Amino acid sequence: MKITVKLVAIRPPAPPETERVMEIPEGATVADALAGLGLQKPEGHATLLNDESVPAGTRAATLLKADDILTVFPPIHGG
Amino acid sequence: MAWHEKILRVDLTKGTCQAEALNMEWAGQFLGQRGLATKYLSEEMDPAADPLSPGNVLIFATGPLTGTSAATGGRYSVITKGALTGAIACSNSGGYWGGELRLAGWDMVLITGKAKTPVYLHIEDDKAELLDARDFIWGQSVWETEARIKERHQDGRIRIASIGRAGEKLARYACVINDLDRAAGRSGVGAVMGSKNLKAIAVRGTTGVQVKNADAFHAAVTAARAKLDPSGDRAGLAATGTISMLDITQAFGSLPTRNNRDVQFEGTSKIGASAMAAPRRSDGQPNLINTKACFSCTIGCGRVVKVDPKHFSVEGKDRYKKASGGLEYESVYALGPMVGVDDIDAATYANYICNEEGMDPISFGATLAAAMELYEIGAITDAETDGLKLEFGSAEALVKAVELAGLGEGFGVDLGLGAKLLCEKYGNPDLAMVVKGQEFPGYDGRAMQGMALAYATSNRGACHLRADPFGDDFNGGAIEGKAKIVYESQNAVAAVDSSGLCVFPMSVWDLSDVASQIDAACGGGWTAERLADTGERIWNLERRFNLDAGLTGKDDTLPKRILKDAAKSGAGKGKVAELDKMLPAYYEMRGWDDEGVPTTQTLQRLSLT
Repeated sequence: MKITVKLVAIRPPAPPETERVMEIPEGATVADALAGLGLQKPEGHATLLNDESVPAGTRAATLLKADDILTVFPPIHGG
Repeated sequence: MAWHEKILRVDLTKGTCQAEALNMEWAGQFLGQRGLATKYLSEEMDPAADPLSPGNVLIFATGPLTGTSAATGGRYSVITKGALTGAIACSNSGGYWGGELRLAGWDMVLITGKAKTPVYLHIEDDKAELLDARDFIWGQSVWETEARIKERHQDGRIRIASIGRAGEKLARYACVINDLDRAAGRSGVGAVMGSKNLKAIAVRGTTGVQVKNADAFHAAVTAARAKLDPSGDRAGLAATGTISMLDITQAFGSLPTRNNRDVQFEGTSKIGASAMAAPRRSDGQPNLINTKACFSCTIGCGRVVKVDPKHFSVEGKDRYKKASGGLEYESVYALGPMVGVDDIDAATYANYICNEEGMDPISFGATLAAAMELYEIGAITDAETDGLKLEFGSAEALVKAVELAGLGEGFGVDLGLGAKLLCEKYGNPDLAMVVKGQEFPGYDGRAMQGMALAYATSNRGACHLRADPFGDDFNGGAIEGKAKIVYESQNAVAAVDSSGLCVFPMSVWDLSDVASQIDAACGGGWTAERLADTGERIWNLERRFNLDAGLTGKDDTLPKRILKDAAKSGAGKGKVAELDKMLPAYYEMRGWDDEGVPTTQTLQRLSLT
């Protein structure tokens, strides 16, 4: 199945695409998708699944379904 | 050492400048800058005094690491009773002014009274004098003031902190600008300076800052830099500045838009980091032309930009076609989504005017947003605005409004009131997005619940830099954990704000990295634990100042819109700020009673009795 991944404000070195369609197997989780994005320290990023926060502790138990939108960004501090 | 142990006391009423010894017992308890100056302020003035009266005290304070080689060690703060809030004000700035004051041999400048006629303070190492500002720089902008002082004193390396015409005319959110575009921005510290007839402080220092143990200090600074310099956070700030936050708050749904009616803005791609770097059609040049860093900073988050020379805002105005300080996250939020404007050149121009005339762009933008909503509902009409159409999304309105506010002319006088007084004047106090009278920075508390608590409890009014709930908020942390995160980070930030360092390295450092540098520079056994305790002491001292000024626990609240109206989209969709669940836990953690008053036991524990 396919999901859409959006990478927002990723710190250098960042993957070239900010948005991509990702093929994932049935039963894949947010943690699985995050690990496959080629990010440095993927666990240090924040995730939104269809606009809802997915805390780090629940990613491995959060199943993905077709057409989900996974947004990934660094939880940077303000300025 | 590290402290010079010397402050400059300026009595504007008498026209005198005197050196006096720094109270080193207080330095041991409150460190420097924010903390130490708050102690001086509390001892020197009646907290109930009118902030714009001669009874207010204005302090420019450095920390012990200001002016040293510690990474980001160039910060200073302006501490006073805020003209915008009537609460403690502490506005922190970078650039080079703070470092220069330390190089001149001073830890702090403490200013009392009011000058009979406009003056400026000129400091050259240990020599300090008040000079006549009339027919010279009074009535001039910040930019013109800097140029004229450098020319008169024939020294291009003088560093200047000054107010613009907004400060002279007592706009409630007037700020102090140093080095042309670095701001001690919040709470109206520039209006206090204007009320004292003090136009500028010009400093030239040729001495230095002595540290206690040079080898240990070098090792501590090197170790801290070894963490900071290769980090992704530093690289990100250097590459895109703080403005990359715009893409995050947009994605998360915590971007205040059109006076917080919305939490996501459809025009973000036109004003964000990518737009800033993209070549424009008119001349093929991007808005962003360079980056810059403050004194001793290895991050370099500052932006240097140029407005499109063909943009309507700069037509016939050559001085705005030169390179100058660019948009940061807070300014782009306030001059963009908050007023519904997606024109990066209009926002950049408005930011120029805020720098040139000495206004806080956060408060100006949020006040204009409130005015736009008042205009939309008919509470403000063309009669009040002299025909200016204050419509959300209007770049023309933004440009004209910032010019009027900067000069304190026409409807700009009303805009200079700030959102709270403006909305009260026009009969809709609930439309002011403020806490304790200070306008919101660029985070909506419905998606970011920790930020909601941080805003509500900030001693200087709504502020994003008095706590650090960012990571937990963006990671969807539970409500139950917010009080502890806000409490601990408020204490940590208070300590860092008292050291001379910037808070930005704290995404990589912890308090032990700060403590090792302070201890090597100053001696005396500074540890992470002592810094956390010092931060808590400072927080409670600020709280006590506010209580003595007449504020109460009822001021620890948020606008009705944030408490009652659910967010329409994003991670906070359907939610309101759950302050009622967080505040009692926060008070308990602080050792305050149900009314938000520190208990005697708490004050004794912190040696504040």
